[in-house]
Order: sequence, then structure tokens, then C-alpha cells
Amino acid sequence: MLKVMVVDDSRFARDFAAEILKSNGYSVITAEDGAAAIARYQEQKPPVVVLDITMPDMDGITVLHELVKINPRVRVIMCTALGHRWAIEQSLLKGAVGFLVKPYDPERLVDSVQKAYR
Amino acid sequence: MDRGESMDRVVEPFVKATAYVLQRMLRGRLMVGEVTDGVTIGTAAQVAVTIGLAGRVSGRFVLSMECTTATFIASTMCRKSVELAAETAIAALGEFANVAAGIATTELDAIGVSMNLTVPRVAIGREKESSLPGGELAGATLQTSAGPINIGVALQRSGIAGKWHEGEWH
Repeated sequence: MLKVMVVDDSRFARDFAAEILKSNGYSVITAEDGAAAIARYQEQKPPVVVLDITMPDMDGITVLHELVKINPRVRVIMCTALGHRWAIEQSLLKGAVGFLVKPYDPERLVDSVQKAYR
Repeated sequence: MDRGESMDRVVEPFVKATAYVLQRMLRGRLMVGEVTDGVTIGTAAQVAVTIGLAGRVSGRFVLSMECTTATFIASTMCRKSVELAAETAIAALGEFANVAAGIATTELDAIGVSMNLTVPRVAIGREKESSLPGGELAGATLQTSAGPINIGVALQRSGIAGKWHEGEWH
């Protein structure tokens, strides 16, 4: 089963994404902050990560940088309510493969994960 | 800049962001009311979602609505019918306000008004919120297919350097 890690400090956002992905046949692990995401990534190395940008303590762009250091081939889809150019540019510069703007449609999430897996 | 104008500059991004998030979620037409000063936030409606604002400007962002409206929004977000008292519904309403506040504060950051957000707090029942002592209040009402949603922003400049006063930061 294809594995995806969802990282978001909002419980609702985590559960929402996890439920959609599970119902589309993915195995999902979740993390509630940057430190947990890095630890879980090191343990399980899911090929695809859906990562929120705006999180306390360690923001998503820093987490992305750390994940890419662990595995340069990790496929990370960034998501945020902040649809501004700097966030997209920073994410792409650091190696993200996709970008979701909240609130996103379930179809959009599944489509992005499918594309990341290709 | 007159008194109302600079307050509006801060409040309008919250109104626009809330309308944007609702429009994406409900996929329906919204009517956005004018921003007016001196509103009392969150007292009349049955559900209030409050996010604290901290930074150069501090205060509160409050979305208030009737139970039926809140239940409809939570159910839409959860993609299933939920009870308003359920943990999932509370989390959904908090996320709704959080996304709107995130968009608004990004826009404000671009014009030099930086603020951090606290974790959303959802209160159900009347007489929950009142005003911000010493601060200014403004807000608008969104007419949605799920019912009206009141958007209130209460501001007070923090720190010893000055205060949000007479519509300007001093």
C-alpha cells in the first residue's frame, strides 16, 4: 500500500486529509509538528509527504529542508492558507513538488498525491 | 488618514478572507456587508469562534453565528452531518476561522502590520464575548446560504511604545 505522511498542527486538517487519503487506498501516518514529522519520517520514510507551512516552533519550509536532507528524493506537497508567492517560491526552491491552498477540495488532494507518486 | 480608514484597513482583510474561505467551502453566493465601527462582537449569536491577535497590533478576531449556521459549516467541512457539540465540529469551526485569519494576516503582513494568531477557541451559548477594554471594534456581516455570519475585529496596540488610538498606531 502506498504510504503518505500528513503533517499539520491542526487536528481537523490532519484528520481531514488522512480520511480522504485512506478512503482512496493510501496508508497514512500523521504528525502534529515539525519535530514529530522529522522523527516519523526517519522511522518510516514515506515516499510522499503533505506538509503544512504555518506551524508553531518549526515552520513547514524548515521541515521540508530537513526532510530533503534525509532523503533528497522525498516528494513533498506543501499546503497552507497563505497562497502568497513567497511561500510558493520558497517551497519550490527547497524541493517541494506541489502546492495546495487551504481550504482545498478532496479531489485536489488526491490528484496532487497521485501526481507526486508518479 | 481619518479614524475609520485605518481601522478599516486592518478589518477588511479579515472580512475578505472569511468571505473567500466561505465561498470556496459553500460554493454559493455571498453578500458582504459594509464594515462598520463600534460593533459588539459575539454577544448576539449562539456560536463564537475567537482567535487572539498578538504582535504590533493585538486584539481578537471573532466569527459569530447561529447554531444552525455553525452546524451547516461544520458539516460541510467534515463532509458529513455532525452535531455542533461534537469534537469534530468544534475542530472544523476552529479550522475555518484559522484559515481565514491566516489569509488575512498574510495580507496585513504585506502592508507592514504583523501579527501572530492564537489557537482558535469555540464557544457555544449566548453572552460569551463582549468588547476589548480600551480597544476599537469594527465588523461586517456576511449573508450566506447557511445564514448570516458576523465578523468582528477588536484591536488594541500592545506594548509600552504605543497604543491603537483614534484609528492610528501611536
